[in-house]
Amino acid sequence: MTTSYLTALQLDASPGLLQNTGLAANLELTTAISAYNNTALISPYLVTLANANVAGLSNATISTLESLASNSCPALADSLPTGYATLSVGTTLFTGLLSSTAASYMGSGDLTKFVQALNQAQSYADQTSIFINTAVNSQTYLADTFTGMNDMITGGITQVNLATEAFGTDLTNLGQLINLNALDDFGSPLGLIQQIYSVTGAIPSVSILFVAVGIPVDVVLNLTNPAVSVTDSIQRLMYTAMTQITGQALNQILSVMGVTTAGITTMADLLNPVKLFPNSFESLTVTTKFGNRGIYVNSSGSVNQNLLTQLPQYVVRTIA
Amino acid sequence: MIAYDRLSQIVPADQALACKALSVSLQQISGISTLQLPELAAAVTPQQTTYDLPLISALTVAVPESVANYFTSTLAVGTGSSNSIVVCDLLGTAGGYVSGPAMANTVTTFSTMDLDVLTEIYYTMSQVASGIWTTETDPGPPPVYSTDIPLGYPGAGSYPTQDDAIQALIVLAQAEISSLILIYPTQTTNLTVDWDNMASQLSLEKSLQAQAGIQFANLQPNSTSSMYGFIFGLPSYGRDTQVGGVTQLVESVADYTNFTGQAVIACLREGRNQPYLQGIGIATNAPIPADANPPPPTANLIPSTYTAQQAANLIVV
Repeated sequence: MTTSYLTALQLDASPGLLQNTGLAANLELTTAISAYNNTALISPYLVTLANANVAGLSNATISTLESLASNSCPALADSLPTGYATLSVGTTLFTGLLSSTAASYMGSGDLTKFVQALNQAQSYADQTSIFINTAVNSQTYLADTFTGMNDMITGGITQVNLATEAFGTDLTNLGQLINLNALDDFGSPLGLIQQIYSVTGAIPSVSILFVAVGIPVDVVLNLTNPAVSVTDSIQRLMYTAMTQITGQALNQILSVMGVTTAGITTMADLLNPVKLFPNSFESLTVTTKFGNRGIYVNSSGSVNQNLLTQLPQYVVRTIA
Repeated sequence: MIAYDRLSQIVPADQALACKALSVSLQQISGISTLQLPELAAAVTPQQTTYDLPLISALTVAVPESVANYFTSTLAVGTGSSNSIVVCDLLGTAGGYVSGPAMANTVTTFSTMDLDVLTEIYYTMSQVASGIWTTETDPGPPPVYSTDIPLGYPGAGSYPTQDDAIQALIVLAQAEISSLILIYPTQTTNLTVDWDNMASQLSLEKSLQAQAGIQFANLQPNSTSSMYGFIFGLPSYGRDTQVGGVTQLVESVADYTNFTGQAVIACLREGRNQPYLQGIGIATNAPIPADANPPPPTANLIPSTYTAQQAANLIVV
């Protein structure tokens, strides 16, 4: 059972409302209508209409009285302005229509009808406002950054690869291999080794090979430090070492990182997107200033060289 | 970040270019840096696309202008922001929305005009319609009557019927109204604008009520539950303070002259206070406990627990 509360003021308002008091047609309106109807000008006019039938006035005459000045200055004869085909007035004229309309909205003595109408009106206003405001905003929302409905409904995933199922399979097979918080270093030997070491700690077989290819021992020992920085020449040596890490040593790394991708034969393959995404590399794409472009141009893994001019220049060239 | 020019000196150049491109591509996925790779993989695999929906795939904007125009041209007929519909567009006349100020302005404007001639014509009409100037001139059968507007009144003269007399006075009224429009162009223009606005408001309400399915003749009479809902909703109504919104309408129909009407307005104001207070954790003692005091007695229900002996008897050894 839902617990609901009433404030003191809500409770204070309740008895009157439940007895159809406390709400009424707007006082300013009713006062103004009364004042208008009691003016020396309008009062006798209303009397004329009230006595129209007793006086035997014809329907044509009554109709003329009801529409007097409707196309010139309706306020001077309490008439309904022309051009409102859905409205009609009787012998109580336009102010009579206003009064009866207001009274009808207020439930004609039954305020529960007013609150039902209010509830429906609010619901309709709320619903339509969402449509209207969304439609208006839609013409400026995203400005010119819209790249396609696929990208919109997938959160940009299809900007990376339209073949979501194949791409997802490849990603799943990579376990924890890629650090999504360090994508700027994706593809670098240091980035790879730091991700592996963050999961497993240092791997002796890897360290031995690093030393064997000429990487200083102090550098090798410091690779578990996430903040370590190494020169590009040392990274080149790391890559060379990785091409030699195969067999049991490689399987240990793959196992610990949860990598189940087929066709990985050396640790260096873990830096090659063709090897990392065997099911989906052909459909890998990147958004450039010229639109979405393929990263590879064929099934043999040839890279799209146009990307050298299409990618942001800070990605291509080191900013001094 | 390691750029392509450096990475290509470390790993094969083609591979470096592909890695940088893939890095750029992945990073445009919002929030990717906070994800673990298995989380991303789990989200990517089940993603559905617009495959085989060529018309949707071909869209170059998220919402074509024609789609937006449909709503802005058919729905956006209200007086709210972007012509959205507000509650007063459906029920405003009850609260004097548009009509209250317009009627008050009409009376004020009348006081700035010399309406004596038109007033005299209307007065004469009323006298004619009341029959005081109509007499039987021949008992007949059939009886013959004459309506005689005395000298000094507009349309003075003898008419066969009251209808004839009124028609003559209508002609005079039309002429006088035309004259007033010439004499008072500003006032009559303002009056016409006010009355057009009132009629327009009524017409809009009628149209929107039909769209909203509001049929006053079919509303349930004496729906106490509806009133309970209204009372519960008063604080939230108070927070809709836009022009023409619920607060404006309810305030405008609340009867200031009595306790209930003032309590309704106070509820609306209380509702506007609540978000500010709740936002910083300030409690009020306005809500009254709704739990029964004393608590209601518990009914005697069919026993639903085992005694120790009954439980022992059920054990299989």
